[in-house]
Amino acid sequence: MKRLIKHVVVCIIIFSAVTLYQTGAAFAESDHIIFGIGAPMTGPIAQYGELVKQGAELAVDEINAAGGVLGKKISLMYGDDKGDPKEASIIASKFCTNKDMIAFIGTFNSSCTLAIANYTMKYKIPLITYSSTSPKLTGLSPYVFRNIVSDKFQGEYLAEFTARKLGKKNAVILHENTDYGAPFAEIFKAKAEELGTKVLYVDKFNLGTTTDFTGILTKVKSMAPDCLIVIGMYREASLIAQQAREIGLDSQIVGGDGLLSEKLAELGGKAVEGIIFSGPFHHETSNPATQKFVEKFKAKYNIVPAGVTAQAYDAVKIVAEAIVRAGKIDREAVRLEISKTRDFDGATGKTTIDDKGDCSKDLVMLTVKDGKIVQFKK
Amino acid sequence: MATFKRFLFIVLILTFPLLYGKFYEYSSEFLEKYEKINNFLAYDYLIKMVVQCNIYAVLAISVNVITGFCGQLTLGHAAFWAIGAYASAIFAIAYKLPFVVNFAFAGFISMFFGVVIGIPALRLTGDYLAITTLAFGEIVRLVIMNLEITGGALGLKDIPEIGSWFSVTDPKSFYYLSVIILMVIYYTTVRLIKSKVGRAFIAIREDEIACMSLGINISRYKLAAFAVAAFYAGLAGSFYAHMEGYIHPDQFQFMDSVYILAMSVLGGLGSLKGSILGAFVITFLKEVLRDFQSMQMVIFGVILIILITFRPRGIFNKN
Amino acid sequence: MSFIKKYSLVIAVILLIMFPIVFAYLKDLWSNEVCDNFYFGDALQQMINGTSLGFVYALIAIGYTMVYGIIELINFAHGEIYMIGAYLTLVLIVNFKVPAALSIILAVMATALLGVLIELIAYRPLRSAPRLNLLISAIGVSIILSYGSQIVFGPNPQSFPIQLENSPYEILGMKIGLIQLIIMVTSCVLMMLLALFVKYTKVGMAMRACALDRTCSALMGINVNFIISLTFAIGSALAAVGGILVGIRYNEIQPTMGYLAGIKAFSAAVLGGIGSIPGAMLGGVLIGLIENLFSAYVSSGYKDAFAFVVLIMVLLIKPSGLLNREGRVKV
Repeated sequence: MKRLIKHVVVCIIIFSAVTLYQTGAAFAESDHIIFGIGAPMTGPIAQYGELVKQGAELAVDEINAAGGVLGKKISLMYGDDKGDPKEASIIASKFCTNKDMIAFIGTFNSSCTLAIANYTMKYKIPLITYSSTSPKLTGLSPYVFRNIVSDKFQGEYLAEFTARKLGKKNAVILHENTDYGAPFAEIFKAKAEELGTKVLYVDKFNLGTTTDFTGILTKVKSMAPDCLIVIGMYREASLIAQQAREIGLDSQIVGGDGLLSEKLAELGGKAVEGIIFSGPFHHETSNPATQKFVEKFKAKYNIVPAGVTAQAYDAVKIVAEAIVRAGKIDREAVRLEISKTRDFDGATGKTTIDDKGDCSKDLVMLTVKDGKIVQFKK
Repeated sequence: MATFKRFLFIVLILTFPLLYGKFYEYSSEFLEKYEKINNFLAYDYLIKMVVQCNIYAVLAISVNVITGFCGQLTLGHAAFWAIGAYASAIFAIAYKLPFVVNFAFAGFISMFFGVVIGIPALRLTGDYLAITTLAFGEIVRLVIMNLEITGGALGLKDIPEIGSWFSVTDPKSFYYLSVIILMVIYYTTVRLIKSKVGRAFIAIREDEIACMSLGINISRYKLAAFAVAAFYAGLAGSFYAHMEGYIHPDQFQFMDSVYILAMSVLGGLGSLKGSILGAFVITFLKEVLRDFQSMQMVIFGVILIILITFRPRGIFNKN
Repeated sequence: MSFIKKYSLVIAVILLIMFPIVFAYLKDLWSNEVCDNFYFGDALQQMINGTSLGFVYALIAIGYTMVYGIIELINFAHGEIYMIGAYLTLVLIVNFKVPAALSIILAVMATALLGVLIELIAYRPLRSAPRLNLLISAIGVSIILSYGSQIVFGPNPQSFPIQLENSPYEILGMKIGLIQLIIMVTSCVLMMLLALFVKYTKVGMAMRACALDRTCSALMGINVNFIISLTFAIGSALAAVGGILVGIRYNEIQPTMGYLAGIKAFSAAVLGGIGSIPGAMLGGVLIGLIENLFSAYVSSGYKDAFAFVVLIMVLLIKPSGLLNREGRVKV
């Protein structure tokens, strides 16, 4: 009996501590408007979480300094999804029960965004993602939006670029085996072949764990393609570029937006000079809204902003403007206004959200020159 | 009397958070902040946590059957969980049958794989078995990631819900179902351990050679242990898949197997209600530490080492 | 029949090597893909490419095999040690501006020390406990090291500060890069030194004695604790060298690199025969080789699964591995 009592007491203590802690953490002041921000703050892709935070905070600081939205200040509630869809659904359920959360901005990975969307759709909370490009989000629900182009758009854009602008006659595709790489590669292949560029070979690699590509690359070399398309992140791209050059595979390397990172040149060294890839943003484009953003960012952080930072910045601002247009702090009204976003002039260009929740904007083609990422000019 | 005390203990653990939630519900602050979906349980997030705990409790019990009672260390248990989840999901999407059918189907498919991995287990002991189960876990995950039918790296979505009265915004129904499943599995396992089969498990754990000389068919019981554990894990997987509506291979990694093992270890290998406790503690611990980001895992590792060094039989046992 | 049984593992390994080549060849015959120029010479080149990574696996595998030989523990944390060796070098060179050569030496020594510390804190108290507990403790250490590194060093991949030009050399018609040659030569030299050490020095003899029978060795006056610490130190040092070599080769390291490399190295150790140092080397090279063949000819996506398949295969066919030590079937 004594043991049972001891057990029960310990349980009560543990649960009290936990539930008290939880309720404390989930509360927020009621005179604020809450934006939920989902990003991978820890885990294998935590670097992006940091970048997102920078962009979101800059946007919120600006808005609050200008008086907030409808007189109220915005405060951000961060949810760390660690890049894991399981964690994402946990933070989704945590956030969705908070009545003050007007909108959810996030998250980075498409698989995590899908997991969160499952919840926000049912709770009727508008969700806008700044970075998930999976075509599976297109038309998923009237509550799901994004301010980045989908991979369908990007894949076709890249294919057109490769076929028309670069004039490549054949290509080999290497893609990461994820929900980003696989559909992207498929879309690229379909469009490229439609435009007359032959896709000789497609292979996939596991994200994060693959270091040695000499096996595939030796095989690719024997096919002597015009260009090598790499759909993946900058780490794998830099490894592929290095190892390709080592074995004498000199084809032009073209990539998707996953390559956009200042670390690309750092990891890739000489090998990545001249590789071309697409991105949503570059800090040197002539767009005035972009330049304004870059200035403010440099003033605050002393470094040049990254692509995902600009995206997150824009996403926050899009939602803020939607609230202002709606005139009231109501999820349904805000959702309606987000869906009516037309020509929003932001750091990543003009964003117009279509009836499927997607947006189409021009991508920036980038390349590496002298160790820096610059715009590609033919 | 012991059974009643045990029953009381379990019930207390499971319902306490809800009672607490209900009590909290009536404070005015709470009423302002959170949407009241219905009159009884409004703290959705907490409920969801408890449902997660229940699922992990089932998994911890199943690991305890193999590791705690039969003495075979398993590091790939997330694989059975995954197999159950995917089997149930694929079956549900392909044939629109009621949940119970998918549930049972998942259990049996998992059990089949449990036997498959159990067969090499017959020849291996200790560390080698552990590594083999780890290898199996990774192979399963990589295969799921590469196959078309499992959605590959995109995961599987649009998994049909359990029934029209189950919905994501009303986790209360999930809660009831998960409690029922947990209770049934818990009691089944208690009866199992008390039976001849359970005693054979314990005998195998203690001294295999003595078992052989007593005529206990070690092979058969080891396979049985794997089969049972895999079956439970499959059921848990099926429930998880239908609750979440979306599954992805990244949800079933090696670390998850380690978590489940840690839950058993925390509660005490060989103690079933300890597994339930362990599941609750570790799941809540993860949540509490969520805001501490990377430190969470380091703390978890430290706890694991301290536990296994000083309290190998579980937190409440001194030997 | 008994010939097949005796050499079953060898046969299995040879089949495994041939499988991807045959697979690719058949696929070519079957389909009308563009890559219908199947060069067999390519296969040899692929194998050479794989061996350099294989030597790194071998270095790590030695740590596993030595530790297992002495205290019958699969040191889960060993993969993380390999990663830490690389990171310590990075920190020394970048943050403390220590010259490269000195950094390497210091980092290797520090990693060896870390290995000893781990044994002292996490494994020694559990020496008399059931094996299960030791394994769980090892898992705990692995988690701490891996995630701790993510906190301390940051989770992003970082470029390795020692840069060498991987100029290709041609040997017997096969292309091989300078760094790959360095890896092979370094590994071979180190392993030879270790083999000589174990065979001809008194301490080496003490190590062999402890691996054979710990209690008896203690009775003979050998300081078993010291020997065990030394084993961890040597194993960790070699793993650190492996990490540094990988950093130089690929110019990038990340905190998560330890896990997979660790598992593959362990597969290598088992393949070669756990407890046998030349076995670790052979196993490592074989795994590197076959992995590359699979990646080139079957699919790169399944490449990682393959090491696990080998592991299970060895444990099912002949658990004592290819070059098992006399009579030590430790399964």
